[in-house]
Parts: sequence; structure tokens; C-alpha cells
Amino acid sequence: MPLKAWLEPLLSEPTYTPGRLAPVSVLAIDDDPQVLRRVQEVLTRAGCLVDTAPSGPEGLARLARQNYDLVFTDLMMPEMDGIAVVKHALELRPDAAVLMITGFASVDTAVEALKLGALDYIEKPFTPSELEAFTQAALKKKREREIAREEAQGFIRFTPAERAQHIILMASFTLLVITGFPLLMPDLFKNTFILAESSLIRGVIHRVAALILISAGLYHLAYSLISSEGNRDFRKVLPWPRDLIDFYHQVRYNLGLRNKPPRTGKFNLMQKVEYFGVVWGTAVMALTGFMLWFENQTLSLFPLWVLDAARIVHRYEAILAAATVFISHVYQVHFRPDLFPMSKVWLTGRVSRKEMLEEYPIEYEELTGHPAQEEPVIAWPQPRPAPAAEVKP
Amino acid sequence: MKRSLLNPKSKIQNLKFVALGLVCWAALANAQTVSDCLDCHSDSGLTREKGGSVAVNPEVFKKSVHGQAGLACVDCHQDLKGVKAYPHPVPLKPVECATCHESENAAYQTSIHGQSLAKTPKGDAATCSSCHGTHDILPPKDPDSKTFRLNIPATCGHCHLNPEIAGKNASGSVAKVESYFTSIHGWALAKAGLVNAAVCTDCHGSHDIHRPTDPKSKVARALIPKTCSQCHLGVYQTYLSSIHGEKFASGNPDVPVCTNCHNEHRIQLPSDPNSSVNPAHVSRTCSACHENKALNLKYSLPTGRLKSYQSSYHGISNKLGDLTVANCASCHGYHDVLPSSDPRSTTNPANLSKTCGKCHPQGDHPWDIGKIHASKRMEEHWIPRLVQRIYLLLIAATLMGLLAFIATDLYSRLRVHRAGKKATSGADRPYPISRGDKKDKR
Repeated sequence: MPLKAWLEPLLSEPTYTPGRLAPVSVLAIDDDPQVLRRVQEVLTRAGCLVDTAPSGPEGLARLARQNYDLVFTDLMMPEMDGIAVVKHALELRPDAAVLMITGFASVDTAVEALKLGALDYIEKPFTPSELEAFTQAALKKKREREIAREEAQGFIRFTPAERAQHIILMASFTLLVITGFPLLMPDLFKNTFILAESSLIRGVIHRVAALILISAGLYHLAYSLISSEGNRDFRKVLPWPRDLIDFYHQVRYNLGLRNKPPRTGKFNLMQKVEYFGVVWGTAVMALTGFMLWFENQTLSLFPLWVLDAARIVHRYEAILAAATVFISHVYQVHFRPDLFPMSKVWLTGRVSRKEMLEEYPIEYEELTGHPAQEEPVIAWPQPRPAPAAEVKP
Repeated sequence: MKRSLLNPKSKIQNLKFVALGLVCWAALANAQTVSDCLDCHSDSGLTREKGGSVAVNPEVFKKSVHGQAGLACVDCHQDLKGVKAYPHPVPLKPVECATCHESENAAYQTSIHGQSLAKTPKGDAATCSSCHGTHDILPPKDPDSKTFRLNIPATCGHCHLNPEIAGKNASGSVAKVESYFTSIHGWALAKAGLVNAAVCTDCHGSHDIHRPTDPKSKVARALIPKTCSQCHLGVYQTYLSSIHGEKFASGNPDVPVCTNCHNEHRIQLPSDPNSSVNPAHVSRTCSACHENKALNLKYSLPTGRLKSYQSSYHGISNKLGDLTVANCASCHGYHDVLPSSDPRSTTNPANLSKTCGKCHPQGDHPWDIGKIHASKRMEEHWIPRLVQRIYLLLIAATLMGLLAFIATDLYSRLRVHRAGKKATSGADRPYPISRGDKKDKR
């Protein structure tokens, strides 16, 4: 039934499955074709995709075009020695996991390469099972190194442009609330300097803040449509039917009716609701605000009740927006017990690995290509139906 | 008899001086001259047995209106007429100004001052000399006269600003009189030096002064518009054409007269922030009557005007201090206010686009502008009403939803946190660390 097939991905929880992982890709660099052939044979049989290069420069050229999970390099090569390969490879790709194939004589050189940032070395000669075990250990080591780096650096959640947008939004929104609020309670504010209408400052600040907010909104629109980061995040914040089901599961989890929270991507349902609340609120407030600002033009185009309706909408939408922000958003970023007193993501743009794993596991998997788990998981070797051909660069 | 203050040289006045001259001539021929009396009384140290001075400054008397007219002392102190032996017998009878100033005395006798004096002869009630002086009486036109226009407030204030005298009769009246000096009338008189600014006697009368509650008083409700019209004649004419003035003329006891809106002693320019007709206070001033349930019921006036105004953008901005926005008077007019059913009214449907157009020039369009003062919900246009209802529901639902979700979120996080504390360490716990599996922990 097509309907069921269509509904299936919507209703089922997206989980990490090893089968989805790309096969481990390996680049082997050696001037000895026999070694190359051997490495390729062994690792291809184990399920890896293996590229070979007969010299350092050729290998580096391949690495420049394409990223590899592991790079094997011989140390003693005529054109460019292994140390140089390690240096250049790490310059090209700082995350590259470079492994050295050494003879007994060049162990000292290998140790020197480790200091430069190479991951490990294997001594010739080696048996196929030794190579397999070494590769698996190297993958694990690489993963551990990645995790250590994730722990240290966290993950970029917001780009500088996004943080700037948020700060402008926050400042102009606050100003708008402060300068608009007296209209709700004129008795309370009639003698308050700046906020009283007589000083004129209130109205001017309100309109200037509104223009700033609208400009930021238009910039955000352009950013979301044009910039690649903005576009990527905009796609991630779009709501899907899946979110409703996640929400249902989230509530069940919160109430203790379910063992695990639903797995979310970069933005959870509340964040999506808040985001579209801001989009909707800005549009509505801008429209009705301009109608009230240019009331004579409005009256020349529409009957009086339209202006009345605009005033009511502007008033109640303001209450709705302010209440939502001050209740929901302040809870989400200040009073959530794990974040109290304040989440710093709006300043640093980064979240910790721990928060990433707990709150946004799908995003973690998309960014790293690894399951959102504390411990490193090495999904290799994988059983493969047929040995694949060489990876086409 | 009515005497014009602004024009003392009326015919009557002239006739009176002629009469006075004749009397004086007769007196002079008879006996004691002024200089006879001044032989003794010019001694500035001359006192009664009990100590009160009876000295008369000859210069002052000579300058006075009576001295100028050549009156002899005995023309006023008539009981000394024909006395031969000096020092003459004392005490003397009080001087009877009425001998000459008959009509003024007649008015005085019916006034509140005259009545009070009759009731308590030894009381504080003002007599002729209280306002005019004694030997130093000057004509009202003389800038040094106690009754010169610029000096009148001080003359009346001599008693009416004295708490010991004025305070006895009506509590707070001192403050009331005092407020005159800060009013626009008082300012015009004292600061701007305008002699035609209203002084006490213009509104209250002089010899014929009465309590405001006395229908004869110039400041009795029925006479106030007429009294103010002495100066503000144009406004008076406009007022009479308004619904308030029309009903006033037909004897209605409830419509406002000038002072109901403008106040009395403390009247201010509308531009003054303290004025009751300042844009900031107009709605309150009109509401004194138009929010009065009894009056609204009696005359079937529409109710809830103030509330609907205050909840409008005009009302809110006005309250926050924007005085350019519309107040009651901006649309309804003030001296010329008329019910909207009157075709002359600024709020008559036919005139609305012009009235609104004063501020909203783009508003001149054929659409129905709908109900301005929607005192009941049902009178509002249904769309804004519906929008408001939807928003209230939306806000209530959103907030309740958010709070409920936050409550569950907080509950689960605290639950996990508590469970996490019980567990030995994070190392042997499966993902997720803080949001652990419930079954694992129990």
C-alpha cells in the first residue's frame, strides 16, 4: 500500500543503523607495488574501499580531491619520504588518520612521525589478520581522537551571522516590549519619563527598534535563502509531521511513560515552535505596526474597523509574543536545570558534545557520521555481499 | 441702580457731583470749616482717652475725593454740626455715607455684607470704610484708590485672605480666594498689568454683593453666563447656540454653565497643564456629568463614553501625555457642542469626515466609519471583536500549553537528575547519561 510506505518514515523513529554507514575508505601510498596490492587485497576483502598511489605526491593529490578514513603510507620512498607525506597530509586535512608502514630499520622515523600527528605504525612484514586487526585498532584510535576533539571543542550550533541576528533580535524585541508596554497600562506609566507619550521618545524608540527588527528579519530571510549555512539550518528548522509524533513521545517520556526521549535533529519541536512564532509574530507586528504608524494612509484605504482590528491584533500579538518569549524561551535557555543560569550558546555558538548527544542526537550523527553514543563504536569490518571495485576518485 | 465701573463719568455720576457741590456750599456758609477741625486733628499725636489715634493728615484729606470736592468734616461727622465747645463731646456717631450715597447704601443694605452687619453690628462684615477708606477715599479711577481695579483683589483680600476673618464663615474660602492670584485673571491683572482683567467685583458685584447661593448674586448659577459675557461676549453667544446653552436658556438646572467646566477663581487658559479644560483633563471634566448615572438616565444620554474613549488609541495616548490626540472637545466641540442628531453638530454623520479630517486628512472617504463610542461589546464592529476573542483564546491556550509542557519537562529533568545522583557513576550507564532509562534506575 503506497500510503503506508509514505507514512512509514514519518511515523517510525529515525535511528542510527550501522548499515547506513559508508564503507571505510582507505588510501595506501607505497612505491612497492607488491605491498600496495597486498594491502588492497586484504582490506578489500574485509569490506573497505581501497585506493592506491605509487608515490607521495600522487597520494597527496588523491587526498586533496577526496577524504579518506585512513591513509597508509610507506616511510621510505624515493620521491618524497613518509615524514613529508605525513606533514603534507595533515596540512591538507588536519583530521586525517595517517598510518605508517615501516620496516624494522625505520621504526625511529615512525616514532618521529607520530610526534608530527600520525596515528600509528605497522611494521613489515605483517600477516593479513595482523593488518585487519591493526586497521580496526586504527579506526578505533581515530574515533577516540575525534571524540577527544569533540569533547574539547564542542559543536558549532550557530554561525557568527546567526548569533548576530539573534543579538539584534533580542535587543530590538526587548526595546519594543519596553516601549510598547505602557500602552497596555497607561495609568501606570503616564508619569514615567521616556515611556510617557509626551516625551515623544517612547514612540521614536519603538519605531526605530521596529525598523531594526524588520531589517534583521529581512536579512535573516536573505541569509536563509542565499547562504549555505543559513539554508541548511532553515531546512532543518522546517516542521515535519514527524515533529508531532516526536512531541507526543516527548510528553510521554517527560511523564515517565516511556524510557527514552525521542531522538531529535538540530532543532526540537519547542525550538521550531519558537522560531516560527518569531517569524509569524514579526510579520504580523510589522504589518499592523505600519498600519498604525501610517494611520491616515490606512484610513484612506480601509474602513475604520480595519484600523481597529490592526490595533487589537498589534496589542494581543504583542502580549502573545512577549509572554511566549518570557515564559518558554527563558525557560529553555535560562531555567532549564541543566543550563541554569544561562546557556552560552548565543555567545559562543557552540554546544558541548554531551548536550549534542543528549538533545540533538540526529544532528550529531549527521555531523560526525557516527552513532550518537558516548563510547566509540567501530562498525567494521562489515559483511559485504560482493567485494566492491576501487573507489573512483 | 447700576453703575458702570468702566465708565464712572456717566450722567448719573455727574449729576451726583453737582448735588454734592450744592450741599457743600450750604454747609460752608453755615459753620465749622475743615481748618477749624484740623487745628486740633492735624496733630499726629492726638489720641482718644483710651489711646486710639484721632489724627487726620491734612495732606491726605486734601487729596481725597471728599477733600477735593470741598466737603467739610461736619458734612460727614454730622453730629458735630453746630458744636461750640471744644474738645467736642465723644464718642461720635458712625458716619452715615448714605446721606449722600443713597443708592449705593441701598444696594449695600441688601448685600451679604450689609445683612451680616445688621445681624452682628460688632462683627467683621465690611462697611463702606472697609473698602473705600475714611479720610483718604479716592475715586476708583485713581491708581492709588483702594477700589482702583488693580488694587481691588488686595482690598477684598484684606478680609477674604485673612483666615481669622474669612475662615470663620466658610471653611477653605481663603484658599479659594488665594487661587485667584494664580488664575489667568489674576495673572493678567498682576503680572501682565491689564486693568481690564477680571477682578473680584466684576463677577461678584461691589455694593450689591451676595452669596453665590442667593439667586440675586451675579455668580448665582442662573446668572453666571451673563456675568462672564461682560467680557467673553462672543463665547456667550456661541454657548447659547449649543445644546448646553439652549437648555440653560430654557431653565434646565443640570446643564453646565461656564464655571462647571472652567472653574471659578482658579480658571486657567486651556493651554495651562492645570486647567480643567487642558487636553489632558477634558475627558475628566466632561465625564463629571456625562458619566453621571442619574443624569444619563434622566436625559437618556448614551453611557460608557469615557470608558470607550479611554480604551481607544486616542484615550490611551492622551493618558500617556500626548496632547495632540483627540479628546472629547476635538470632535464634539466645546462652547458649540451639539447632539450628533443636530445637522449643525460636528459629530453629525454628515459632518464626520470633515471633523475627523481635521487630524486625518486622508480619512475623507465614503466608507461608514462605524461606531466610535462602543460602550457595549455588541456595538463594536464584529471583525475586531472576533479578532480580539480569537487572540484571547490563542493567548490562553498557548500559555497554558507552554506552562504544561515546561512542567512536564522540568519534572522529567528533575527525575533524571535525582536518579543520576543515586547511580554510582556515569561510566557504566548507557546513553543517555542524564536522561537515563527509567527501568535501569529503579
